[in-house]
Amino acid sequence: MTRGPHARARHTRPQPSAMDKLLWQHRAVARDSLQRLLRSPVATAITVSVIAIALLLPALLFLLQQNLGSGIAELDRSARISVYLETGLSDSEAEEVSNYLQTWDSLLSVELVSSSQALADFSENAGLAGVLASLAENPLPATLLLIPRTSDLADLEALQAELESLPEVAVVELDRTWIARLQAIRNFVSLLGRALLLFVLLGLFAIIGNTIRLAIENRRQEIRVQKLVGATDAYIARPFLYTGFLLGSAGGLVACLLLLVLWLLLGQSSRELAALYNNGFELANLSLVSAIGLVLLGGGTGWLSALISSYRNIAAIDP
Amino acid sequence: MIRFDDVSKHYAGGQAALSQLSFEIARGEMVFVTGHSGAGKSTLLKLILGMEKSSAGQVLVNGSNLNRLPRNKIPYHRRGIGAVFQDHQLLFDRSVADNVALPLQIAGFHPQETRRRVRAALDKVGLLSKEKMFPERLSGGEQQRVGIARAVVNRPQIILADEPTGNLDPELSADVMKVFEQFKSVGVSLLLASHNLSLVKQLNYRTLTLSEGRLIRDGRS
Repeated sequence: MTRGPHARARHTRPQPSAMDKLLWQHRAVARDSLQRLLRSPVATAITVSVIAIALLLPALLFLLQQNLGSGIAELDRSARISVYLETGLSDSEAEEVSNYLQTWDSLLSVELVSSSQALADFSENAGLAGVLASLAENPLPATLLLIPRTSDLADLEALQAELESLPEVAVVELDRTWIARLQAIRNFVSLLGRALLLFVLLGLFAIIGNTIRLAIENRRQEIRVQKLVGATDAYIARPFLYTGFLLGSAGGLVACLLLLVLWLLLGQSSRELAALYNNGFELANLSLVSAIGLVLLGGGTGWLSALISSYRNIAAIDP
Repeated sequence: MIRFDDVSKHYAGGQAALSQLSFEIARGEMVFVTGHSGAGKSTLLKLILGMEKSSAGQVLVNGSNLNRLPRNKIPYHRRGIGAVFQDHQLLFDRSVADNVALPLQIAGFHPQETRRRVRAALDKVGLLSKEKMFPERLSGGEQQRVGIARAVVNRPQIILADEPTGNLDPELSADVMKVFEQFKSVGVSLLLASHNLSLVKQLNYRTLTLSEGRLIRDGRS
């Protein structure tokens, strides 16, 4: 009880650097924030799932846009022109048209599907053999599948007009118009995703900011005492910033897991869908980089909203 | 170390807590403040800690004028002052040792160094055996001594104490005073508010007597 107040131990360690001090404090504070979150698991789980679901929506739209993009690329490579000939044409007449088109430089290849072959394919694929067999006449026209040399929309439209002017041709269908529509849908989805992201971020600011405000309210007395013994606002805010960051990152991580579950559920049906379009398209999941991005987006938003909320609320506590 | 120049403090209601107070406390000086409750003792300590600002006059502590100290510098100002509060201001969700460690953690001491200093401070107030207990299980006097250990743990240049012996029996009061005297002997300035007049008289230190916010006496009791 009676040692001199300044009787220093002989083994006083060298003065630690400011960097060291910061490191110890941060390590202790990060651990403390995590422990506090884990001590109230239900409240934490609810907050994390709200954040996860909020992040899931724009992430889903982002994925949809990505998948539409790769779907378009896949369709682009197989851009075709389907030329439906008049129904009255005989197989040999169709052959003649086909031979004529093969002389065109603008076409890479010409494939003729005669009306009888079309009938056979159709009844096999669509399982309508019974219905078709009952028809007196083959209702299907002969078709020419053309692969054009160009993929430019204007050139394709010119080619389409040229083909339509042939008397044997009934309808020319350009896949390109379909692609253009898909492109427009994709742009729309992308815009929608960005707008939604903005709203979601605003919502996250409100959710996390409020969580932090309540946490500060609960620790009011502790903050008062900290201020009395010389804590800066930055020091007091630090655990709350970690709380915000941890909540946000956990939300991002859970959103990634939910996306993975969705991808596993939808993968099979998407392959079936792609097969219907004779298309090797695979439903893309979030890449690792995007997944890390999503976690960081959550963490960053959590940190920033905690920063805003804690500085306002901590400054308001006066010892 | 502490200088009051014609300091007055009015609260919003208009009543004056302190009026035209002037005194100076030198380095290594131990001074008592007495007066009945409501005479302005607590307000005086709050002004020095920067918890409140004077309405008129200058408060100078360790060379800096508290009226001109920006808000973000106040924490650093407080780190140089060890304060013992009448209501102890302990945190009940952490152990005695963790309570005492608070000023060191804030100042960024290494955990090992913190432990060593905390044990030394608790030893001084005779509570080393209770370092792992929670304040709730301690008596009022023990809580008060935890507050004293926390005030001295960072080896401040100034110690302020509001009724530091209020809950202590005479023997413990004498022990606590011995701790304060040790700090005085190494150049720490102490300002102790107390209405325990017999203790103040017995120790015969310089005493500021306040009445209704005015300094009515400044001298040895």
